[in-house]
Amino acid sequence: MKIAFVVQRYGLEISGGAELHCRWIAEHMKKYFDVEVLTTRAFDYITWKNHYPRGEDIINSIPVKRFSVKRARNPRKFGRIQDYILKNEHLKKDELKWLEEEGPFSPALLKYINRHEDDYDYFIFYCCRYYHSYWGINTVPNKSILVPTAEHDPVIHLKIFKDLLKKPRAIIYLTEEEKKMINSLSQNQNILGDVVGVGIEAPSNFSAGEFLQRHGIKGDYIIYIGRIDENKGCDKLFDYFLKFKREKTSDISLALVGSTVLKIPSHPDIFHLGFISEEEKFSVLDSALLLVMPSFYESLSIVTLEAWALGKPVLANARCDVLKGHCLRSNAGLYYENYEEFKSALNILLSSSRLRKAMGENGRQYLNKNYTWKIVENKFLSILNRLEQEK
Amino acid sequence: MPEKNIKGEAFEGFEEISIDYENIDVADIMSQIKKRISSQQKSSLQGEYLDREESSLYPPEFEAAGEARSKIINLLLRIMRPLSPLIKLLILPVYKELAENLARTTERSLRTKEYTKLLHSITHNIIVELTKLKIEEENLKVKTRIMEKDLELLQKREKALEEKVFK
Repeated sequence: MKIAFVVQRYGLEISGGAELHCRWIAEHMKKYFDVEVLTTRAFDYITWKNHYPRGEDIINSIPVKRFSVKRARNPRKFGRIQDYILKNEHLKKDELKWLEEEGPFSPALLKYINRHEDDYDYFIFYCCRYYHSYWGINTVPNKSILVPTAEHDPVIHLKIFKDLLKKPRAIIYLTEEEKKMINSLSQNQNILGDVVGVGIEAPSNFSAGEFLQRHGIKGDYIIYIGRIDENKGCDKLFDYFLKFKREKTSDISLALVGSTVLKIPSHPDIFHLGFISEEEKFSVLDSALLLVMPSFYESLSIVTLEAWALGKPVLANARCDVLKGHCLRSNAGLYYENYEEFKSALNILLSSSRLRKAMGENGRQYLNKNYTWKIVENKFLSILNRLEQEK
Repeated sequence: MPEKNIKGEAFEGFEEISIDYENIDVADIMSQIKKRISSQQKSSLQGEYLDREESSLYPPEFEAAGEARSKIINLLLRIMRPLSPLIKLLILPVYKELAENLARTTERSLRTKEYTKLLHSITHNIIVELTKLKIEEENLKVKTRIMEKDLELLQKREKALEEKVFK
């Protein structure tokens, strides 16, 4: 069986959640099928400018075909159109115009899918909100499987997506919350689908001592890993953490890992470690007391699962259904909606090592029950088997 | 059995929160936290009100001094009673009161700021929801109009067919 993974960006350096999920799944499916990746030449998710060379490439023994982005996104124009369609009555053609502007606008990729439909048994499209998925699914609906990676984003309510979510042969959800949201949005319960998620494996040998010393981190700290961005709730996290420090006499520090698009407040107890390697990431996470996830929009939150793989509890933003759902199902993290709750939950977690340990253990169990590669692979295989039987 | 916080691991200021460590229930912990916060907010509002009332009746420093008052001081005070307003003004640490008021006002203004932010967020969400509903309503209206026209057309067809059949 030959399967094509169609995704907006692909590469070892790309750490976006959906793209990483796609790469991991493709690499695991390689064991069972003939797998290929169809993607664009983009690296930057804001403009989709061509970055990688055109043509074929091989990444971790998977053939990757890259197609040019015909027109880069103009963020200002895109913002204007999005603003218009979210605030005004509009027609389907306006939504399609928005979709084209959102991109990645790569007609060459769609042309290839159209011409080579017979060469593949299934096309697995990533991210329902992008141009390639919408037109790709419309081009090969009978061979398409969608991984929507949908969040509680206002654009998901656009009419074009309601229709799109009824078209693929199967849908692979990342969480129960995503499935519930999409089912209620498009009434597509009749379409074959399952909550699959991703397999998490934490490396076993690492030591953070030297790394922490180099960055001047002494004593206990909590950690945030991800893009340091307003959309990820980091501005609120800074406000809450600084207020917490003002009100409490605590030695706790906040370590931040990831690239930043937000000004980080200058405070002796806030450390920005920048973009670090996977091994370093796991070592700083392992030395932290807990992971804090202030994000409003998450479709799975791989880093939360990684924290649980290391037996670390999580303090999450309750306004993100996915994070709250994870915490409630796993009993491995507390959550907050406002500063008072942040303060109380953090206080409780910091003052009881027993609670942190018990929650961390719950996180490990939750992971072993739902997010091992064996389970994920079996779920994928079962969906494909069912599709084959329906043929 | 749910276990009260064990000794040495008491949560600072959270003595009333109980956790069953063998069987952790996050929903239960969160509901305890929420309950505690709401009761704390209520009592702090009440406390603030009572403090304000009491402080207007008895300046705390003056009251504390009263406890240790000796008979001689009482006598002196009785003699000096006509001058007491002036003495009060001179000896009371007015700056302390000012500082307390300032701290209270700052806290209140911060709280108001938080409320404003929340209100803004709520208003924004309501507007978005209303817009969506409005769009939905317009779509439904258009659909109804189309259906009405279809019905009209069908009625006309029906009449025409009837005429043809019964001719």
